Amino acid sequence: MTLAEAAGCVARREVAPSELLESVLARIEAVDGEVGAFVGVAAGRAREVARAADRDIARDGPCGPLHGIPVAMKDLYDLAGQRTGAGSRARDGHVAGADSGVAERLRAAGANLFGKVRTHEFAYGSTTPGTRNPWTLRHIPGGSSGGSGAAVAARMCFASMGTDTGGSVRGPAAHCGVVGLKPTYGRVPVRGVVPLAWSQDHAGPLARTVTDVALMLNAVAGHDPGDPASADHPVPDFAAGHSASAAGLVVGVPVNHFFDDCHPDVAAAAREAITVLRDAGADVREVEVPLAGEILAAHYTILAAEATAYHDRALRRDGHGYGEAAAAMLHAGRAIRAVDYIQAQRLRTEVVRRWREVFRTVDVLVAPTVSAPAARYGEDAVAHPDGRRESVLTAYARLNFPADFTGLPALSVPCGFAREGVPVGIQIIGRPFEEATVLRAGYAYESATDWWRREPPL
Amino acid sequence: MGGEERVREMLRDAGVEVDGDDLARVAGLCRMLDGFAERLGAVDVGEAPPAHVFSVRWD
Repeated sequence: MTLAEAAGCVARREVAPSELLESVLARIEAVDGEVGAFVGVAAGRAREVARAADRDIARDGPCGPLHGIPVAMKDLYDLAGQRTGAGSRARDGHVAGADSGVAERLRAAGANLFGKVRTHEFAYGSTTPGTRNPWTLRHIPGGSSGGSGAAVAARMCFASMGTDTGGSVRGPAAHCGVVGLKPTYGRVPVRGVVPLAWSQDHAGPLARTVTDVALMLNAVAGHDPGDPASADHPVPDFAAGHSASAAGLVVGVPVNHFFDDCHPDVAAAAREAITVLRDAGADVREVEVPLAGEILAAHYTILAAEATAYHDRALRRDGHGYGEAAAAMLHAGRAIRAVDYIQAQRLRTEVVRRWREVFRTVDVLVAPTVSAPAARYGEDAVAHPDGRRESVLTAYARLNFPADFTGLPALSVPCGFAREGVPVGIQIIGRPFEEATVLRAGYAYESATDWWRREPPL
Repeated sequence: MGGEERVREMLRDAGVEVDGDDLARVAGLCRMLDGFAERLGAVDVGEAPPAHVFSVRWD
């Protein structure tokens, strides 16, 4: 059952929030021993919240589509009174004093924030050790929001909030066969979320369908004066006006960068998805995407410098609790010269200027979400069919970084499976603050396909 | 001075001990970052100022 279907059942009083919660708790009990998505479930408190929702809805009806819906939070989001572990022993002893901005909004919308899901340590990686891909446990779920992707795919929650600084919502969504949205930079507040790189951090939802992520975005989008990155921009109803038709939509297909060196299964699935959009009425055009090949270097330079700045004091103090991989990357961030950081930010200005021109001719860009399918668990490289091996960092980042670097909204929608049975996704990138257009394109594609109906064989 | 040497120096000054495989990993990442810096330096961005994400303006 999707989030929208569950909300419909709740609104018709066919299912009570307590029953929804018990269903996900039972599912977690049954399969999370194998998947390892959750780091904590506050079952007692969640049952109290669900019973209160049962009473309120019986009396007054639901306050909105999220009322009584169990939602899992990536363990970077502060929930008042709970530990925000960020996947690191360096956070031992931490207790959040207040809810994050997103948690405040989800609770106000009636969602039941019943559990926290695993993140790659401090969101600085794309494999999420400890969590496995529900479709094939031999593979990783992607990351850093790997717990979110796995929990949604395995039906252990109806939606989850992730974060995306270098593809950390869209990558796990693609690898786990679910939908993930990275909104425009500043659209969703990151107050109370452990940062990775301030100028590139985005908060975004994962769920089973495009409509479900739109319902989540409705709840969490909007200006937050407590977040210096937050944008004061009108918030439409993102779930309204969806149609199976893509008529009138101009889809740009990149002729450079986005299909370069893609795994053939990924490229074939993305090409087929573009054909589906054309058949649904979209005007499909090839476009050159300026400077796309330069973004990896600039994005990583900014990310690494900002991440090291955030952690520098703790690392200099004693570095206690940091994992080896995270510590190595954070130490290496010291190699970045100020001038290179500034050059990267200058390139960002130029990329934004030139991409603005591209979006004068197309409504969205469509491309693979990730260049390669999920790697095998425990491996930090992906194998190409010709035998070459590419680091997970590069393979998973090079198609995802551009939307973080530019701040543009980007959606990943399931579009098939690669060999070994791991899902792959297409990415739909839109103009700033035009999530509605991105979601419209995603809905049109989703309506013409049934990938989202498939269930992992757990 | 390359990134690897700079990081070794900074780690030594900060009294942070990194050795063996960890140091090799750091060194590898430093070489990657040096490559990125070289690549960035080769891109012509004209007169573009840096992207300002957070502002200190008071208006």
